[in-house]
Amino acid sequence: MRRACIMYLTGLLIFVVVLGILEQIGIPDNLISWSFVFFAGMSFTIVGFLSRTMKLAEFYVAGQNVPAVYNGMATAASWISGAIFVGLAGMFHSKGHDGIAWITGWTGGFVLTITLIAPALRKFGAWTVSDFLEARFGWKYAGLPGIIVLLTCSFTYLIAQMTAMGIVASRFLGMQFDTAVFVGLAGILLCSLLGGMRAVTWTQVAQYIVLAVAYLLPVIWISAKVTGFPLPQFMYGDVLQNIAEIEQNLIENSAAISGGLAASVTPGQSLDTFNFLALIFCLMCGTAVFPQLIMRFLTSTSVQGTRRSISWSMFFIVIIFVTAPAYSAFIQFELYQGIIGQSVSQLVENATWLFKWGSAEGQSLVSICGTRASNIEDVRQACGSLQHVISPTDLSIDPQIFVLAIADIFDLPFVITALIAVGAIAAIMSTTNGLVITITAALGHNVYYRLLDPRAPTGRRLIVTRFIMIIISIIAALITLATPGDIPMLVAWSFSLAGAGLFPVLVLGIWWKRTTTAGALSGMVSGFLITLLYLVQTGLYGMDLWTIPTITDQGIATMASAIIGIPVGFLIMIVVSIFTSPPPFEVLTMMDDIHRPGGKTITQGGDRKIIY
Amino acid sequence: MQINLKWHLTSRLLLLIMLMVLIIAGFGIHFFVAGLNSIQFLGFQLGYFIASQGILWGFVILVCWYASRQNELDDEHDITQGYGSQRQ
Repeated sequence: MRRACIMYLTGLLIFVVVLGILEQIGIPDNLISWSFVFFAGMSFTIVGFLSRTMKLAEFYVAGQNVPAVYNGMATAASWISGAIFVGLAGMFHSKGHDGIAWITGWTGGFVLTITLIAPALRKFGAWTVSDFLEARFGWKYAGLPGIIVLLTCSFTYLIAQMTAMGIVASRFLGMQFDTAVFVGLAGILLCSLLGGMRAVTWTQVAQYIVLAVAYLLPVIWISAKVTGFPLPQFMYGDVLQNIAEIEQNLIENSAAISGGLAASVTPGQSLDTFNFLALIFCLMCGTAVFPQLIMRFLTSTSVQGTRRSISWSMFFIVIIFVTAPAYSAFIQFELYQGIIGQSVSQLVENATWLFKWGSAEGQSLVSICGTRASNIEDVRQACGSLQHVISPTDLSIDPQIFVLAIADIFDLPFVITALIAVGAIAAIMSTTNGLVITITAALGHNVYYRLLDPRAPTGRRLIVTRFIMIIISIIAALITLATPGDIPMLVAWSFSLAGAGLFPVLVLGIWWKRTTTAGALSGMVSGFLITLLYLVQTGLYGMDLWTIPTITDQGIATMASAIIGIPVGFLIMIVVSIFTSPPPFEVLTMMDDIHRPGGKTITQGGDRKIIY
Repeated sequence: MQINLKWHLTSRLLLLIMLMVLIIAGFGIHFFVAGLNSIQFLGFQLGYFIASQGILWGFVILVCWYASRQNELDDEHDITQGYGSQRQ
């Protein structure tokens, strides 16, 4: 397997170099991007086809024999979504220090999951979270609230990914948004329909290689170009200092700076301390129980394998996360050097990318002097004359394009642009694949098999499951086409919902024997509902944010709304549990066993093999 | 099945350490970021460097340490004897 990965990585790099050479010879840009997409798409499909399976355990949990390193890579690929790949760098620019809340929460959740949640679920032998809930609370329908939480948080995330797919594919391949969504969908089904989780695992490994190369290679190149040393994560400190000096000069010359990057290293720009910490807390709890991640950790070889998988996935994720701020620093530096202080006529010669991106279809991405930079004439009119000198406030660039446009901004060859686009598509596909298989497992395994048709033979279960997979993908695509969502908002929603719905019940269910069925269900439902209500009321119907005197005057931010739901969930779960009779003896024995990593798993996908 | 007290207590201790570090590194440290920004480190303002990179690398080390320490502990006390998933 290691040899296959190294060969794939080498093949990818050779492919980039060959295309780079061909580009110098002069083949058209369009051909480069299409052959790139073809290379990536073919390789994912082949991996998916080779991993086809007719076994249920392989379809749902990859046969529980994925080695830790590859599980780590697959987890990282499934964790690094299109939104992170495309938007994280820009977020450090637009939200400044607040971006740190997101990356801290998204990684801190792994610390919670490795200690509190994943090993116990792996020892239990669950295939999905609902398997555990069902056995732990000893009621056939106890898994249902878990499925509802899973469906809401996974579907919101899935729609965010599909929207991102439409945007990236339409921008780079010139497809219609609608067509792009359906092509993306077909790609996802091609990879995962035949092999289920097994195929998803190995395509995700390939996708991680693509997305990591695509994310790191350009910024390493730029770091070498700007600072002379190819280690962007540590070199951008100097660049930040240069930016601070430039901004200081601008302020002294009484030029107004909107935001400014130097300010971004100081905390408290848009979120106050309470909301900053609350957002970290919500994202951590959401990450710790995010169904898609839990599913990945259940595919490892053993409880110890789960722990090793989590450490590897942390490593692979953090490499990407710490690179994001470097992108934003290098780009801001280039903007100050190459754009600010130039006259409009110089821009036309030196920075044609402004007009290229300004004239892209859809919402305005680049605006100069308050007008959309679609052509020179408009800009000249808005600025007054061709001699107008661009000041920092004249220029506004949508931070969402930072990563996608980096090759244009730094005058790198087009092959880098194509590489980044393919990386973004790989990031989107891997996350979407993970989400689709998670939803499929919940519906096919828990709802269809365990609730509706417990005697279904393997063959019928596989057929029904694949059918469900197709239906889910089509529904997700249709919703995306009807209402393409605001991506960051959907992402924040889905973490709050996952955290509020699943975190209290899993933590107490695993660690507190006294948790009763009534307690768990009431706590889960109330925590989830109050979060959902707060999200919908503040996010869609414009309700005022709840303020807490002396702690936050700003009000609890919509994206941190699980800060209400999680404590409520814990509280109700504990109180109701105390007032109901304790769980039966067999559950208590199971609870002792669940923390002992040795021996056989307690169940096999919820089917008991060992009777206490 | 006998409960191995040493294993049990050490496991809980490790867990407690993990959660304490998580609370300090994930939440507590942010109260000091603004103050630490006056110190320079590798060209960065120290507070910003810790918040944007230090914490994350810290989490990686923490998780790796926990995984290997807890796995070793399980091995030492033979908790993992005969581990492995049931295959169909």
